[in-house]
Order: sequence, then structure tokens, then C-alpha cells
Amino acid sequence: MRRLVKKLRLDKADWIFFLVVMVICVLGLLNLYSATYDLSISKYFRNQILWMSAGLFISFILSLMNYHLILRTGYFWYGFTVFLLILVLFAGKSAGGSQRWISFGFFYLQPSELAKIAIVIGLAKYFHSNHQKREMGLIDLIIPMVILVIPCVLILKQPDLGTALVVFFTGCMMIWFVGIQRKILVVLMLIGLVSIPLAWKFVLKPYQKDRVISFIQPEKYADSKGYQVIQSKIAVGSGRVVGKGYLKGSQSKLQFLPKQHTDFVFSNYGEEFGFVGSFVLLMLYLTLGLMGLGIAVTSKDVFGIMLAFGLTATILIQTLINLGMELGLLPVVGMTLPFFSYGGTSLITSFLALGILMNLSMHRLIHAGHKA
Amino acid sequence: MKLSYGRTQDDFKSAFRISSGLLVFGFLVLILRLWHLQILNGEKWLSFSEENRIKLKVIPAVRGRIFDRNHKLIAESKPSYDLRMIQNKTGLSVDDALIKISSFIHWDLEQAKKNFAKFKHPNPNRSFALKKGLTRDEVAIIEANQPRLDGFDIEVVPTRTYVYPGSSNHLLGRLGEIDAKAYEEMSADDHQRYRMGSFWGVSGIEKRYESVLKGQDGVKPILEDVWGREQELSSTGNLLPVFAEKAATSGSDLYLTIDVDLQILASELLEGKKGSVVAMDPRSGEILVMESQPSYLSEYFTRGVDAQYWKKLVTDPDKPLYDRSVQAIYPPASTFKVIPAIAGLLEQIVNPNEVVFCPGYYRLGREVKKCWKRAGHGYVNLEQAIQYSCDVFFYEVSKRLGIERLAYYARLFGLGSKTGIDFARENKGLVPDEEWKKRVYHQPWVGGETLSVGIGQGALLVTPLQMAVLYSALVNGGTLLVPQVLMGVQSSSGGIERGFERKEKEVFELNQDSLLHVEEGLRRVVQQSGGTAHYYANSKMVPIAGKTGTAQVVSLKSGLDIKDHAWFVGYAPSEDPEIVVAVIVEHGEHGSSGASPIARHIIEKYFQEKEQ
Repeated sequence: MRRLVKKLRLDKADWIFFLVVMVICVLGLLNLYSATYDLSISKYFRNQILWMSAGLFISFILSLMNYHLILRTGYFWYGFTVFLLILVLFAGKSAGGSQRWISFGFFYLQPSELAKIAIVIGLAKYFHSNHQKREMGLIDLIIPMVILVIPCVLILKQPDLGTALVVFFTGCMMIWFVGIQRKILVVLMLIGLVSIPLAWKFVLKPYQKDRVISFIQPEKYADSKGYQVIQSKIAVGSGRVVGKGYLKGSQSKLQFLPKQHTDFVFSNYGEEFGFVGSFVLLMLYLTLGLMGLGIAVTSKDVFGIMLAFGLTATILIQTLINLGMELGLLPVVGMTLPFFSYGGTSLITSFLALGILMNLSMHRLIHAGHKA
Repeated sequence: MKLSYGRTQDDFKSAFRISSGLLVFGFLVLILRLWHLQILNGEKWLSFSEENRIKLKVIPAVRGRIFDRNHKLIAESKPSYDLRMIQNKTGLSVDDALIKISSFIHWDLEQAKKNFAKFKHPNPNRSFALKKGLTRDEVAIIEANQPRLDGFDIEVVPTRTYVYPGSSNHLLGRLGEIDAKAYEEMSADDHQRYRMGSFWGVSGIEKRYESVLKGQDGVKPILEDVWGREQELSSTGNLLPVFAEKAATSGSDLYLTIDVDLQILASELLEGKKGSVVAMDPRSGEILVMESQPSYLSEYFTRGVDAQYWKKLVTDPDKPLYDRSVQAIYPPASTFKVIPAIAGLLEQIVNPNEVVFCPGYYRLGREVKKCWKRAGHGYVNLEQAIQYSCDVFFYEVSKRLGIERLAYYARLFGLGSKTGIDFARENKGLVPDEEWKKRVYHQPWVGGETLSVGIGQGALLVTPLQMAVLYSALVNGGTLLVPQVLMGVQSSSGGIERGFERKEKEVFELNQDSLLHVEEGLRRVVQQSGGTAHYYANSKMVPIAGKTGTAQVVSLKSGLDIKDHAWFVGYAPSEDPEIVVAVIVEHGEHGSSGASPIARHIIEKYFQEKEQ
């Protein structure tokens, strides 16, 4: 038994990191039970447990294999995801004005969720195989940007602004993390600032503009577009210091909260557990992020570093945007809270990331140990 | 340590530090935001979340009762039963639900649909009153079939009911629903007490004593989800104080000076007629009767008046909404003759023993004014002139007085101004004089007009209540009283507080001898043969005195035969009056036959009751 554990390098795994994720998952399950209490409790809760088990199984498998398998097949996964993103535009199932899902009969796949992982793999592979300089110049940026922009544009087409943003930010963070000439960084940031009004004019759909406007003045749109944010703020704020108590949040029980089990899942949590509970959850996510970054800097090669960094970034960017939106700090975009929101694809994606991160954590120390 | 392509891990150290810093910063912002929402502003958001889920249901206060002077109940609050429906709970479409309930209670389906349409797409989760005021049978059917009538139930609503619906309607007044306009215009205090759609008094006693009768509505918190579905309240912690349940406080009971038996008698006597009966105690100013017919039925207004009924009332040429006791103005005709009589005596322009010859007409310059009796009354003194209602005698007295003195005495006795009764919108009538004619018609006063006013015609206009007040002042020795209807208000301990207080508008020094001559004339009218009301108003039970009047109705369409208005103002007992009654019957022809019997009945009933 011990030999098996050693062989599988389970002893080298970062179990604390895993534990943090598991605590978040358990809190998420408890919260989901509460948030969907009035609806058909069995359906959501059971599905979520099912998906979590599947996710755990997948991440277990992923953590056991050598991550260089991913390195070798990196462009394949990237290409396959791009293929799915194109496919979804033609054969996808539409809901709520956007086309995001491909039906597999028993399971709806959301390729944009996979793209969050695929972009990380694609860029990590590229930087691992091609990059030599410490700081990239303008020409060096061309290929990474192409790798990044293709899926982003496809996702925007669906349209799914939230996911496109997460993918784009993750890619940008990775490019920045590899190293970029300072002057180019400054110029790019300026271009980014200038392009905001252009994006407003040409890229954003009317309903997306509405969301931004209603974010800036939610009270003005209290009945329509600002409704979600106001109800979410009411829910969280009314939790006060220790919350209204488990299963006692009136905002979601009486269904004032929209999307209380998916995008606005934290509102229910904040209402029932108050500042104390929210603080604990936020600290768990922060720990997750810092430990993820820790895995990155201790990985043994550029691929490992970039992979760990990218995956950590994608999870934490989602977390920050989702929480910022639920607390009324950011405009409303469709975005789930990793490991916490209800939803199969989102959960499986998060567990894919977890599996790869666990894998990386198991392999880094061996390398370091050899050296030492 | 070397990594692929010549990179070392150290190359990433600074980027790692910066990204860790960014991450910590991001979470710091979120924590500060949580602090702001949950700790600094938690109370505010909590109250918002309470407002979200709690709806305050109004529990209407039970309106105070109204009693008459003998503590007989006139108006009370009785349970009325409303059929309420929650469409989603019926499990049926709107149409099917309406079909189902209308067949159960044998209700016209079209009417059911009409009632439903009034609500303009009610929330299918909220309950609303589909049918107000169910009959006992309907209540019984619904209760017996409750298990089969999901989504329907009965709500008990305290509703104003009047014990004698046929009488006292103008006096008691109407209730009305508070509409958007009224709600906007009401004071801040009233905003605390009323909601749009609540009922309050809009006329009569109900309006005047609204603040006493109303009481304080209670509230009951109802837990609702976002769709308006009612939830169990128990599961949800403590409520903020503003949402606490508050019991309703009933309104206080009122005691009126009215004698409801006399009131009923008056309404019966006026049935089918147009007119008014006002009776008051000349000693105190207590109103005993104030009845006007034709009338509306106050009970049709207690839950919101039917549009058709309202339209009928408004367009009825007989004007049933009009309170003839105080709002209608008539020429007082011969009932006014007491004014030139007392004025002439007090001004000493006529001697009590002086006789005037009545040939049946009176000549003033080139104008000839007729006496109602063409053959003439021969020689009459003041007492006889009153007894026979001789016009010529009063033409002469009026001529001697002149319009200014005549108008002065008319006003002294309260004509031309409001009596000051507190609950009604009064008409103040009109006492004409030279100044008035100049102002209104830009013409000088003509002598003949003085004579017309002297016999209660011309431009002179009075209300029946003014006549009752005038005769009261005459028989109580010269005190103009403010007529009142409020005897008292029930106190919190159950007794009666704020008792009746006599209010004098004016007391004038009158020569009591002069008064006695006028009163003797009035006594003869009824008690001596030849008096104009002797045949119709003389009572074996109690000595009555009074004066008839027959007001000429000016017809706009000449040639149309319109009967004159009949007046009688009387009192009893003639030597020590306790009750003054003023009666007018529109187109009652003669004061003697048309009005005086009504007064006699009222007076006899009053003394009958007193004996018992």
C-alpha cells in the first residue's frame, strides 16, 4: 500500500490545497441546499453531488498521470476546443438569447467553459516550446495573441461576455507572467484604455450595455435591469455580522434573488452567514489562489509554471468577478463562482483545473528533491 | 535552477510577488465591501429585505355606532362576507374558476366576469374580493363546499349598516371610498390613518364625526414571496418594530339629539312627497327630527356605490341627493308673517288693538296687491290677521316698516345666514333689501316688493331649518339658538362624555308683551275655528300653535299648472313650547292641508312618547 502511494506520488501531493477546495465544495453544497430549498430540493442538490463526484474522479485520474502527456497533446486540446466553439455556433442549443450549449443527450456541454482550460494549455505549451527571451517584444507577442484571440472572439460570438473576459484576462495574465518589455506593457495598457469606448460602440450588444448602465445606476433600474444587483445587495447586507442563520435567508427563500443557485449563489450565503461566514469563504478562496501561485513558482519547467499559473488565474479571476458582481462592485455578467455555484460544466471545468494543479503539485517536489 | 529554454525559476519570482499582491488586494477590496454592506449598512439592507417579504394587511377598525337621544341604535358595524379568490390556488384558468364558483352559488356568470374584469389582471397568487356582500345562502353554500372550492374563501369585513334604511339618510350621510385625488389632498395625519380604497364619511354625520367614529385601523404582517404567494410567518425570526402586528381600535359611539321614532314617522309622512321635516327643542337647540325626502339609501354606499345607482341619483329630477332641510331654499310665504308682526309691535308702528280693513286687495300707488281671500277679511287686528293669515294687514304693516326694518328683523331672527348646524352644508337663504337689489340687479327698490317680502314672497328665501330656528327664538323669548345634533360621545370607559351644551347665537331683548300677541295669533291659527290650520292641525292631545304658508311657485313655463309649496311651522304645547316643527311639502298646495297634518302627527307622537 505504502509503495503504491509512493509510486503514485500521492505522498507528495499538496493535500492542504486539496482540503481548501473540498471545504469550499462542502460549503457550496450546504449553501445550494439552502438556496434551492423551496424549489425541488432533490434535483439540484442531487445533480450537484453527482457532478462533484464525477469532478473528483476526473481530477483524481488527471492528477495521477504525467502532466507531460498534456504537454505533448497541448495543441490538440486547444484545437479541439476551438472546433467545439465553432460547432456550437452552428449546432448549439440556444437559451436566453445566446448559443452556448452542445447537447450530448444526457449532458449539455458548454465549450466556452472548456476554453478556460484550453487557452491555458495552449499558451503554456507555446511558451514552453518557443519562448527564449526574458522579456518579449512586440513581434514575440503576435503568435500568443492569435492563440488567445481566436477562442475569445468565438466565445463573444455566442455571445458570452463573461467567459470571454475570463479567458482573455487569463491569457493576458499569462503573457504578462512570462515576461514582457515594460514599454510594450505600458503601450498595451494604454491601447486597452482607448479601446474601451470603441468596444462600447462596436462590440457590446445592447443588453450588455444595459447591464453596464444599470450597474452604474442600479437604483434607477430597480424594477428591471438593476433588480438583480439590488436584491443581491439587500440579501448580503441584511446578513449583517453573523447572518440570518442557515436556511433562514428570506431573500432567496421567498425568491427575491434571481439566479440564486447559479450566478448569484453567494448572495444567499452572505445573507445566511453574514460577515463572519463571508470572510471565512473569501479567505478560503484567497488561500486557494495563493497556494495555486505557490504551485506555479515551484514547478519544474516552464510548461508547469505556466499551466499552474494560468489555471490558478482562471479560477481566481472568475471568483473575483463573480463576487464583485454580487456585491455590486462590477457590472452583471454571466459568471459562476468556482466550486460553489450550481452547474455541471462549470463544476467539471473547475475540477479539471484542480486535477491538473494537484498533478503539478505532486511532481514539482520530486524535481526539486533531485536537485537538492 | 535552470528550466527549459534558459529560463530560471527566479525569472518568475517578481511576477509571482506582483500577482500575489494583486490577489490579496482584490480580496481586500471585497472584504471592505462586505464590511460596508453588512456591518456599516446592515440595518438599512435588513429593513429593505423585511419590506421585500412583509406586506402589511390592513385590519379595518370597527366603526363607532350611532344612537339616538333615547339610546336607540341607528347605525352599527356588522360583519359582511366577501368571496375572495386566489386564482393559482383554484388550479383552474380564470374562466373555469369563474364558471365553477358562479354555478356553485347560482351567480350570473356575466356578472362574475364583470366583477373580475374590474381588477384588471390581478396577481394570480394574491387574493382579491371577487364578490362583496355575500348573502347568507351564498355563505352557507361556500362553507359547506369548502373542500371542493380550493382557492376560494370567505373574508369577514366589518361593514356599516343602518337599522332604519328608509329614514335619516341625509342626516347620517354617506360613506365613500378614498380615491387617488382625495388621498393626495389629505393631511399628513390622515395619511397615517387612511389608505387609498378605505372608506370614510363623505357627508352628514358620518363625515362630520369621522374622527370620532373611525377608530384606528390595525395591521397584520403577511409574509409574501416575490410572486405574492402568502407564506407561513412562523419560520422567519423576529420582525422589525415597524412590521409588528397592531390590533385595530374601534371607533367611539355617537349619541345624537335625534329621536329616531319621530324621524321614522317623518320619513313615512313624507313618503312619496318631496319635502322636509325639521323639529327642534326651542329651549336647547337640540334637533329632534331632520328628515328630507326623496332620499337615497346610505346603505348602498357602505361598500362602494354601484355606478348605475349613483347615475340614477345624480340624474333624478327630484334630486334625492339634496338635503331639503338645509340645502333647499323656498319662499317662506305666510309663515314669515310673524316677522312683520313682531317688528311692527316692537317698532310701535302698529298697536295690538289696531284694526285694518281688508277688502280683499291692497292699493299701493297704481299697483293693486291681492289678499289670498278675494272676498276680504273685513276688519282685522294683529292677532286675527295671523289667525286668518290676512295678507292686506301685513301689506300695511310692511309698508309702514319699510324694507330695511323688515330685513333687519328677518336677519335678527337668523334668516339670510347659516344657522351654524355643524354637520351639514347649509344654504344661507336670502333676505333682500335695497342694497341687495342694487348690487344684483342694478335697479332701485320698488315699494311693491316690500309688500311681497312682508308676506314671505318676493326674493325672500329660507331653509326649513332656518324657519325652525326662527320660531324657536320666537317662543323661547328671544334667544337665537345654534341647532345641534350631537348629544355626546362614548368615552373609553363606556360612559358618555362631551355632553350636550346649549349654544346661543344671539340673545335679544324683546318686549315680552309683543311676543305674547304674536303667540296668541299663532295659537288661534290652530286652536280657534277660522284659524287656517284649525281643521288639519288642532290636536285633542296637546295644544298646538303655528302658522301655515302657501308659497307661490314661479313657473318658468307659463300656463303649466304647478301646485304651490305647502308650509307649516308650529310648536307645542302652545303655552310652554317644548318642540318646534317646520314642515315643507313641495307642491303640497295648501299649508293647511299639505303640511300642517304632518307637523301635528310629529307633535302628537312626541308627546305620546313622553307620556310613556
